[in-house]
Amino acid sequence: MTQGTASLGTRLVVAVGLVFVAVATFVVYDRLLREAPAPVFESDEEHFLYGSIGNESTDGIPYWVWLVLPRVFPDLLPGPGGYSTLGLLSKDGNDLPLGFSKVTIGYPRVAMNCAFCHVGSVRAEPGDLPTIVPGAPAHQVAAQRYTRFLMAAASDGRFTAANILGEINRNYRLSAVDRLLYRFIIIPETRARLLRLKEQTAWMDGRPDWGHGRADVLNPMRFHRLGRPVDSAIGTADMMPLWDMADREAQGLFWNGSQGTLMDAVVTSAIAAGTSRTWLDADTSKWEEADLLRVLRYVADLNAPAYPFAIDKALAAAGQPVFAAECAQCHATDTAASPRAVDTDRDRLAAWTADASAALDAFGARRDWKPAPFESGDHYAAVPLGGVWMRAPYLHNGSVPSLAALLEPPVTRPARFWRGYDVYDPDSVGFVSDGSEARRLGSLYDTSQAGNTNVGHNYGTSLSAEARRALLEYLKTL
Amino acid sequence: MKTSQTRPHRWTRTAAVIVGLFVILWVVGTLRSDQPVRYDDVTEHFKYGSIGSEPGVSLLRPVGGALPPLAEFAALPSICPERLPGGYASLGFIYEQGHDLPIGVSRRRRMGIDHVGLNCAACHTGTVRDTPQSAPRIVLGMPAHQLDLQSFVEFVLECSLDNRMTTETVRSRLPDPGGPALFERVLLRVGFIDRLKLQTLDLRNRIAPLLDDAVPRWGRGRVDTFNPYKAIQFNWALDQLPPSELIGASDFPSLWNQQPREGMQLHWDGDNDSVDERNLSAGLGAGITPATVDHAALKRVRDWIWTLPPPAYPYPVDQALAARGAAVYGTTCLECHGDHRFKDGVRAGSRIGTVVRASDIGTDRYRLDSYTATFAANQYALFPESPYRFKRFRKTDGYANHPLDGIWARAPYLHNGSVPTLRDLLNAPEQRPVAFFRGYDVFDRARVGFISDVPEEEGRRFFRYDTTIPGNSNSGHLYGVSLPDEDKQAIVEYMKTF
Repeated sequence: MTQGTASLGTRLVVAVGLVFVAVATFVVYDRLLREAPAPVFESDEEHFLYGSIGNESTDGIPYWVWLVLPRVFPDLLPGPGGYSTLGLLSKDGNDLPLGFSKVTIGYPRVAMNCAFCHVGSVRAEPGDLPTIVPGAPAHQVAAQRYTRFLMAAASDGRFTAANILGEINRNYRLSAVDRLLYRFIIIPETRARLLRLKEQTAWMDGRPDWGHGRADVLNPMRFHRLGRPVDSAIGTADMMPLWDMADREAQGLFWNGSQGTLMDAVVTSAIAAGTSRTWLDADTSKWEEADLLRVLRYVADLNAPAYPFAIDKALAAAGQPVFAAECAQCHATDTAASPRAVDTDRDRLAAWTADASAALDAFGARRDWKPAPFESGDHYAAVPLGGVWMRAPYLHNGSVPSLAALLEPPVTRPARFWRGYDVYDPDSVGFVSDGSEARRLGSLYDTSQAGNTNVGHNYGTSLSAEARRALLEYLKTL
Repeated sequence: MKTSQTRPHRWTRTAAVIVGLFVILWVVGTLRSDQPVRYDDVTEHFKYGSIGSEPGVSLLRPVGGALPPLAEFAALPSICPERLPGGYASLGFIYEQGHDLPIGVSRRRRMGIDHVGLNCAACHTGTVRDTPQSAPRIVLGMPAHQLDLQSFVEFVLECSLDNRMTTETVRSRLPDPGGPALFERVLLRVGFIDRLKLQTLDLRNRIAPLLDDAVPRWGRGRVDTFNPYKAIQFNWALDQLPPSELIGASDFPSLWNQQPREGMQLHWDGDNDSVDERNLSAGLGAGITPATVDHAALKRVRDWIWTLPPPAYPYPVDQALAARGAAVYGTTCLECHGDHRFKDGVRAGSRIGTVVRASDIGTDRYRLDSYTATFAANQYALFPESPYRFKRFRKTDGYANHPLDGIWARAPYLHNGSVPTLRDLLNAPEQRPVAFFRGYDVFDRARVGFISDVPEEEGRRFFRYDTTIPGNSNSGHLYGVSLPDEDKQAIVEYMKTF
């Protein structure tokens, strides 16, 4: 009798315990892990600008934390203005800047996508609204500063659950369960992850800053994604344009023309941006519906943007023969024979190593999406010049602010200038690279730093002043 | 023996547990309380109802709100009498019989505290007097041309932080009977005032650069809409912005007749074309946040102002002269501003509600430049993950052509309120008054606007508006300035019928 009651009690306790565990497991799964389908965008452009490339699970920051970080740590940004001060662009009332996707994996997370590095802005006058050019190099984005902002915030004593939840509370009412999860799991875990990233990226501190519009994508790929040992290479280079890809594919993609097909380049870039293997597997299995394929299709159709300011047609016509004589041998798209420039700064070449190539091959072993192995070689590609006006600064490391400066011999090219300001200078053909606003909004580029030299590419530097003027005008038409 | 000892003990314990439980329930229930003082009549709701601008969410880290709780708010003028000799009324707040609080100040009990907040009526209710001896007409939806919002904010901040503002001074001023409920009285004894001061300090630090002497004062009837918002919502360091960006004061607009405005470029620079989004954005200025706003209460105001008719001109109109004015107006003004039928929803004029480039209209640029593309980008994350999220803000390059319904009650004129009367606006800028006084509410029927040469009345000082300082220029808007005097007088007469 008594035994029966006791066992009934025990059974009750066990049953309640089981229900509790089941509910807790479900809550943890639902609120921390459950992957909701990524939002689908109607247009390919929106997909390029805001769509997911599958790196939210690896690199994603909880949306609510991400949203309030600039408000909790405004002093860690270059100035007042939130993420915009890093050159991130917004449009059409979208709450995320261009180049960010939002996907719910347990909780909403944001991560960068292709557009983070491949949307540019340009203005004629300081008072104008920026024109946004999808596919253009994001010359106005301070990519390294963005990462460093997140890491600096995580290293700061103010990065506490109480402070961050306090700021989230001003914007959104999380449920009681979510508040607990944010307080005890999500916020501390985000902090720990950013601190790990800080340790992982400590190698950056010994090398020159990327500044605006440049990124080192090779070293993070080698050191973080592929687990290669940290060495002293500098892989920093200008962000690249994503238009006229058929022409570019023919020359070989990336600055040194090392990768053959556009699909391989997209997959390699996505891996560098944090896309996981599992996601790539799942995406590839969607065949024609694959998200990366949609990006590829969008990019493949992009044409170089037309020069938006006045062109002196007669002068440009006079420049055409100069181009044919001086530049076309390497830069005309219909020229098969293309000798390569080898006399510009060499650091970028050394930053992709044979063991990295082998590791990437192993990373994609037995996968349909595995990019063909590529090696660095000892040259840079002579890239086609479509939309060259919008690709300033010039050379692979962005060491020359304008086309006019590029037609000068290296000794007379500017030794120091500012990158990141988006007001255009039609005279020199490039962005305004000095002056109070360029200094306030941009970052200093110093050609005396490692990887930053502006030597080489001496083509056209001995032309007469008129011929140079005419050539410059012609280049605007490309 | 043994049982008689344990029994009372056990009873005490049980009683203590029960009392403890009740206390916990009471505290939790009180903290979760959120009860505005409600008004059935919609005009009373507009004047005194809460839109959720009172602080909320957490007792220790309150969210939103621009004012201290009721007890403190009511006590401030007597705690710092020399800072505000005439009380809130001297700043232009309007008091009605039977109300302790002025129009534009709402009450709501949140987290067990009787809070006060600002509502739409604070900045959008004006007074008009026929003569200095007449009683004021209170016009709902009219720009609060008499309100000195900046001095009000400064007074509340400074007095809240004053040494004389203490638990004792507040408690000694609590009304008896009445006053706060038990929970708030308990809080008052346990450091509530100190916490309030910390919160006030944070708010003051954020907006301090705007209150600095380097920035021209807003003066009566004006507000800088967006700069406080940069600091309060986004925590931007205002002192690091270009100094010229901090000059953004402009006139309060009227709130009536919103329906035909939907889709037009709203705000002075036409930065938004959605009435609802514009309303919600204005609410942020009153102290709401995405977490504390009372959408239903705001919707009630929205539905009311949707069709609220503009006030009819309260004095005689020379109909013959007005008819002649209509013809001149038709060729000079109508294309951009529509005509007298806008009050009935008729949109005449092809350019009404659109933006004219600043270089073309020639009026003062500062307000336009204080609203930046960077700011718009940040606004898009307001009211996140909700149907109310801001999507319609856009940086523009000029000022919008506004409809002129009830224009007689919207003086002074131009976005920065730099021209006292309609008749002055029809003069070339060199002939417009260089300096004048704002905030006096006796009407000037000849020139249409308020009498603007009275510096002071019964201790109430009006704002001397100096058109020569940055942000205050009365230049531009040269339309009609070269007309003959008779035509100008006729246009003014016609505009009385709007």
